[in-house]
Amino acid sequence: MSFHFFISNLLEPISYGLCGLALLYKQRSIQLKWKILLVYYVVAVALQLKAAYAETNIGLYSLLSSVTSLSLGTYFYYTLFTPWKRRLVILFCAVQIGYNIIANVLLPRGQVFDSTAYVILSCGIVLMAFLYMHQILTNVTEESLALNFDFWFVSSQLFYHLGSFLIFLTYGYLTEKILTSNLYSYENRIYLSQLWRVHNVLLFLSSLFISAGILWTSFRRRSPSL
Amino acid sequence: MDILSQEITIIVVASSFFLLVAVGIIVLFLVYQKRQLKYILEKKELSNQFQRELLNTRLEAQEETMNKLSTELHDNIGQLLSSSKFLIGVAGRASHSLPENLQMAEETISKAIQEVRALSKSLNTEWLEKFNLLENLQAESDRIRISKVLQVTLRHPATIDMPTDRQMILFRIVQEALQNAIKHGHASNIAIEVTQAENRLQVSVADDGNGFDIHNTSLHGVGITTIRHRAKLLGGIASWTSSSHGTSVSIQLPTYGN
Repeated sequence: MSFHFFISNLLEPISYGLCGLALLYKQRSIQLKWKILLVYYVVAVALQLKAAYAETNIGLYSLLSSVTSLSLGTYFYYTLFTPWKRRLVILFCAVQIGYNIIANVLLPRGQVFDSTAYVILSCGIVLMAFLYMHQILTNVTEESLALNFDFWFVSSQLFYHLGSFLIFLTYGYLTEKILTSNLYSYENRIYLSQLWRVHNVLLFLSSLFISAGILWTSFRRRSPSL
Repeated sequence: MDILSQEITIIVVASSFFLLVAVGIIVLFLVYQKRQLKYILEKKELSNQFQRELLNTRLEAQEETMNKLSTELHDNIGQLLSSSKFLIGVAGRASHSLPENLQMAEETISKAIQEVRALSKSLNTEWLEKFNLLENLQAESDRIRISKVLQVTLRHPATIDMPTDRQMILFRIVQEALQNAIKHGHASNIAIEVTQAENRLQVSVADDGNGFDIHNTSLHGVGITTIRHRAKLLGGIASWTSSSHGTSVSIQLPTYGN
């Protein structure tokens, strides 16, 4: 197994697995929203492992975008407590699922990465992260934000989805460009996979951030002297 | 190949920029939230300071009134009673033997003079400043005991380590609690206990009176509010337990030693 294969195919399941393990560590005291995310990470690992060895993984990535929007939507639904913000979360999930049904079931397109689905996902999550920050600023508490695991999680989501936004936006277009023109070659496929590797590294960094957040908040809460 | 390579490089550079924006947003958010928290805490502290000053002013005004009352009791009523006693004495000497009812009147006036002096003393701030809380509590207990209607027991350590002004406020709290026990509780026994542990002082006043419903706020008169405010002024708390067998008020506060 080469290093490139590891970064391209296995870093994604490892990243989701790391988040799942971190949540499992926190499990004793976790609320329903975290339990839902724990299930999400288990499903994500399974899908990613299947995608890593599958001949074509486009369908699995589309399914993952639906699962992600539903899971993170549920998380934000329970985290945000203003009705209009919750309505926006529901709208986001409906748009994402609606689009995925149209693009994959009703009007299936070619076998290329579905950039639109991931752009909708990233935009929705970035928007919800901003809604969360607005909520924090309008309800300031005396507790340090570093002890608030929601803050760690939302920040990592913002970091990942804003950082990967352009990759999601252009990956489908670039794949189609290579496939439909005379640019198709081994070198170009390598170039394209390098772009996906950048995405994988961002995903891994965000999962490290989530794990660090879980460990930090658990450690600080257990050490009253600190 | 070159075009694709260029495009991918541009995407990676632009993504890095987006990543920096994300980090910037998180950092800005943290800084802004910290500033907002600082502002809220400052506002809260200012409000607390205002409350403390307001309470201090009220207490100063109360102390001044008590001083005036003490002077009036001592100089006016005390003098009137002394004159009455003197006149009875003169009448007795003129008639060589004092009738029994006049003798009783003389004794009652002597007792009244004693009580007025004690009361005047307990209201006088200058007097309070000279003595410590424990001596004042002893004097107050003796004063109540003289009436022979109530039994007051006082338990306290040999000394307490607390600034005089704080001792004075604490003494006023105990006076208020005693007043409540006598006036509203119709108690026959009152136990005052002072305990000190490290930097905390606890004073409890327990009576065997009627008790009251501590959850019924309409019964919370000025006395309870005053006790609570004064305890807060000293950085402490006042709490009540009550049943049909009596009431106990406990005041816990830091000593901030001399």
